[in-house]
Amino acid sequence: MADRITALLVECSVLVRCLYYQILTNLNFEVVSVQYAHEALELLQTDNDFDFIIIDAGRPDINGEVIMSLKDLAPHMKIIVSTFNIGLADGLLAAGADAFIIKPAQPEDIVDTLIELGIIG
Amino acid sequence: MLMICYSLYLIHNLVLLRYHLLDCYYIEKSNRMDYVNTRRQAASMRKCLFDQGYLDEQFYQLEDLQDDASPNFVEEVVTLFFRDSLRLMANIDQSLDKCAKDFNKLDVYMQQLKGSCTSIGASKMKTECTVFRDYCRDENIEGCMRSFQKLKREHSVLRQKLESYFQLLRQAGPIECATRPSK
Repeated sequence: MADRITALLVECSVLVRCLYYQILTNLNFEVVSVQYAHEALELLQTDNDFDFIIIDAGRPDINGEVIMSLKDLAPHMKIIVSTFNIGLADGLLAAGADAFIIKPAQPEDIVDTLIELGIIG
Repeated sequence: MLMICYSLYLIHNLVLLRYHLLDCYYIEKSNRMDYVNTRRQAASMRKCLFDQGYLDEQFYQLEDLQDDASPNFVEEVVTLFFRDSLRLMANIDQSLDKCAKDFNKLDVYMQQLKGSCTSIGASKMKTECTVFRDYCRDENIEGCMRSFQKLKREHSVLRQKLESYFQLLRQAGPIECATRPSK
């Protein structure tokens, strides 16, 4: 049986986290969700086997340094920035994030992004 | 004589059984009509929420995400929204009460609230959040306060309407309860 695609979700809003979790599990992904960037970084130090991460760009603790740290800890993991404001994504994309989605992202937005990133066929 | 008595006894029981079956039929029919009426009321209430601009297409997206594994997903998300929005509105209230108005902080709180409104499709609230943020940008405290009062009213109205809607849905029960069992 093929391994399921695994996703790490970093989102401080419990509402948006719940929405994204539902979308991702409905797409049959395995999902681990955390609230803050430091939790994701701690997790990746022991388990970096995630296919992609969706990370909330709107928090002050999410910046270019965090993106670079994520890349160091999980080089193969694609980084998708989630934001209400496209402007917030620019700096994170420049720091190495692979794509962005606009909140509240719809299932088809996420699927299209994953296809563009080569995570799903 | 014995046969006659026994026959009468059988006929009596058959008549009782007939009435009992008729009772069951009419009770089930009545329950089904109650279910249909309740569902119809809920559908009408839902339509009003969209027609009157309280909800937008994002709410449809929530409904699409609901499935057998998460049969109460929409209500759960809406409950989360009202909990989250009350917290944010309390923060905004506190900030507005302070003598020194921090418009940046107010804008950050309102941006978060607007995000939550967008996530569930709370259209009128989302619009008022934008108005508030415009007043923040202009550092117009009276405008902020007026807008915030309006936002609180919209929040209260939406909450009442959605609570009534979900109550009706709970009354109606899951859709499969209404179908007759197959023979």
